[in-house]
Amino acid sequence: MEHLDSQELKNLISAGYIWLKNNSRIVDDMNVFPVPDGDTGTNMCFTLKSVVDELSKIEDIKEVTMEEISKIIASSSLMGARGNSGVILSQFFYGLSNGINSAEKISVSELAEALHQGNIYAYRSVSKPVEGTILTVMREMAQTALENKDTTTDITSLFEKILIKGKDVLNKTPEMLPVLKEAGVVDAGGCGFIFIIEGMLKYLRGESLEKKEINERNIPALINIWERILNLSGKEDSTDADLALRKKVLTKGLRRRTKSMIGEISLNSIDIPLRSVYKTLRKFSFGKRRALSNPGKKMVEAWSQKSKERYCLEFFLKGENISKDILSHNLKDSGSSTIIVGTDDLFKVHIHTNRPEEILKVVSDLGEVSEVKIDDMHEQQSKFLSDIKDDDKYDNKFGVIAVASGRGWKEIFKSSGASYIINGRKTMNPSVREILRAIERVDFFNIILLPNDANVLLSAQQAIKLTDKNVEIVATKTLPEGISSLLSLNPEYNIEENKKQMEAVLDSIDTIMVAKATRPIENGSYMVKKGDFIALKRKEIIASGSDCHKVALDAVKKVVKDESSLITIYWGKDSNIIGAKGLYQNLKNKFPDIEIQMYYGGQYYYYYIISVE
Amino acid sequence: MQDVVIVTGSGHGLPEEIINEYGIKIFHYGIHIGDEAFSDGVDIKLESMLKLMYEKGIAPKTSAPSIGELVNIIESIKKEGKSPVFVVMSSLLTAATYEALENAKRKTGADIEVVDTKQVASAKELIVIEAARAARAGKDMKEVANHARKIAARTNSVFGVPDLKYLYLSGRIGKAVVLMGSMMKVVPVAAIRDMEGEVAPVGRVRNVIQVNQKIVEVIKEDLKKFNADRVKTIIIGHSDNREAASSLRKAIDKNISYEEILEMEFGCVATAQAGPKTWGAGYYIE
Repeated sequence: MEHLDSQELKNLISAGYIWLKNNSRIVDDMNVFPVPDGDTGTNMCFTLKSVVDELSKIEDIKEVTMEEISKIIASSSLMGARGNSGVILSQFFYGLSNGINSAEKISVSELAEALHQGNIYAYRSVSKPVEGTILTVMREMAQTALENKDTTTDITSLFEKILIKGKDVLNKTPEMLPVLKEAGVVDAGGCGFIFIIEGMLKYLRGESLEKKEINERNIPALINIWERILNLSGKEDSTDADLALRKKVLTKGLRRRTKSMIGEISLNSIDIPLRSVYKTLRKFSFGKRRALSNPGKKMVEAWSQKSKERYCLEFFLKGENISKDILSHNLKDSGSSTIIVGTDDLFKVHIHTNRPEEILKVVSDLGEVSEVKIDDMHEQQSKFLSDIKDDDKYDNKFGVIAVASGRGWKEIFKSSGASYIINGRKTMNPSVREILRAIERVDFFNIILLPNDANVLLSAQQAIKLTDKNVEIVATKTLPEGISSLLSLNPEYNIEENKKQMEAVLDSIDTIMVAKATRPIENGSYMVKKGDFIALKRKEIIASGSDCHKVALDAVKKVVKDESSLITIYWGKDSNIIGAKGLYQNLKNKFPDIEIQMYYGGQYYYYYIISVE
Repeated sequence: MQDVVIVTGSGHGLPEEIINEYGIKIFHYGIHIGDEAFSDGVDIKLESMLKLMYEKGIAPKTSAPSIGELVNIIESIKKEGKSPVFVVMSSLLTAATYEALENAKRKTGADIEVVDTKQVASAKELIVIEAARAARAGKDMKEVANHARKIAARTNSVFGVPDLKYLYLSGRIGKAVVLMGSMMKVVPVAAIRDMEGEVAPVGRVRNVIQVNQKIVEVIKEDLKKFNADRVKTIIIGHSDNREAASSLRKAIDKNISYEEILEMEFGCVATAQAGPKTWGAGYYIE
């Protein structure tokens, strides 16, 4: 391919985004500089996603001029920019689009110039550029593009050349930035950028963007660790036999993992060693209170160093003729990692600071502040590190949100592993907004949502349309269904496999809800007086009468099957433990072979919720 | 003429008659209860250990066999002009045993084979029995060891673990730690599969019957994975939980087709590590 037209440019950017997204976890996990808060990949994804989204809104892209396309790229990347590397990336795209002058098609040489422009803008956005970061990777790649622009006529081969250079530079980043070397990783932002370019090249070559391949650039990081471990097991005195042995085991374990990784070519396993190493090193250095040989100790330190500034503040500043100089002067002493980008009437600011409120007050004098985002990096870091500390939690890279009503139910869900409980209040009917807020609040990108009521399902479906997060709904219609599916979750599986497994258990459970009729009901088979009790199964009355326990018992009789092995009684707000025990006894007498358990649910309206499985 | 002797560790449930039938030699793990140290099967038996666990809530610890015992075993086998093949529980769960074996090997200078089964309990015993059969068939040391490794690669196990405390305290919980905790009465189901050699979570269910359903599901999944329609050998194992084991047997008989099925009760080691009342199945799919 000798030229890029608008369609191709769009496809290229989408491919970069998809490949980055498929690998963003690796990028997240490498994030040690400037603050190890584990969000680089996610932030870069969000930044690029807003470009991709805007471009896909164009109906017939071939009809749109290159000038318009580059305007869209410029503005959408700025609007979507998030996080340190994200903002730098947005400036790269901003510069890139500025460098595109052709009306219809971009040539190799123009593309090289545009990459160069991207690099210049990216560099300019950072007040104190640091080498060994995404900036270095961008610069060297842009330089390579410039060097080859006259001798290369094919877009694919230009990308090949810059990618080779980029990987090479990325692998050298630990030599340029000491903290990377200590932490045993290459630069996360740089790595994310490589994924974008690699995705583009894959598209040009017609290769699949599914995530399956091993990543060469991760191997140096691993070899690094491997050397460290050898160091560790070699230099330590061996008087403490137990310690020596554990080290040997660790060494063996890691060797096996490294091998199988390179052999099996599995991306998912790549980041495990890093975490196991960190975890084990921590155990050795703190748990055992033993001095480690230096590389190990430094590695732990590199990951656990708290940033001087606690908050990551981002906002837009809108106004007429805002001077960038005055703005940056105002922010000069307020924090670090300061990035100010944008034009006269709209700026995006990213800064690490201890005084976010103060900054917002100062800048609000200059213009209108909007889309403020304040992240507590210390909290993010400890979360990130506690993930590292614990392989198992780490595998559990998705959260479960459950809608529940009643104190007992909330506790049951929480204790069974739900990350967040949406208060369904009396009627189990949270708003779309409440569900959305829960989704945004949970610290997971991948989320399983349990509506636990047929009415909630609709709002849940609305809510997930409004978020960027990956949310899967397991359509649980009752609270007991929610519990069963939550318990069946296997953190070793990915979110899709879990959805399948969690939905599969729903067929094997029936729920009966026993309530007092608030008005007379007359349908074909039941005549219910006001104040009578009714038992519902899937909103249908299956028993009624004036005695609550008899109604419950009748309903259970209708539902129990030969293979039923467990009845669970959850008593509600209007019932009590003595009543529940009575019902328990009644059921026990009737079904001596079936196990019966009882818990406090605390739900409104329903005296009892009973599940049979 | 059989010239290979199978050696394996104590306390996982290998029945006496099989040990005698195949002339299998046993090395003994240490069992530590409070400050007292015992040798499994020598001066402590399952019953007395269980009594202490139930009555006093003690969680016994296990330790590797002594190098001296391993040296003696190797030398006595050599004296008979035979070769030992050690078939051992997963190295990820007992690194110390492998250390001790290495030491014993160095001390005796003998040529021995050590097979890492990547399994425990009845699944490990299944591999031991298969190795013993290969030895009986007259295969040499290397052949027996390789045969055992081949079986190990297609042997998985899955368990209901009523109380994860013991796995946790013995440091053998692996990835299954995520199964912990819920205010509901739940039974975690864990498995050792795919040669991983460590305990991984399957899920949590609410009672024995559901555990057994889950175990059947997992076996079916593996049959599919190995593209087979029946299991070659299943060994149901349990620790003081005959009731759950026989209910599992029923569930398996009803849902899984197999060639051979055995039942055994775990010894002290498996009970100390996985906790009393644990039950499950080890199975080999050809």
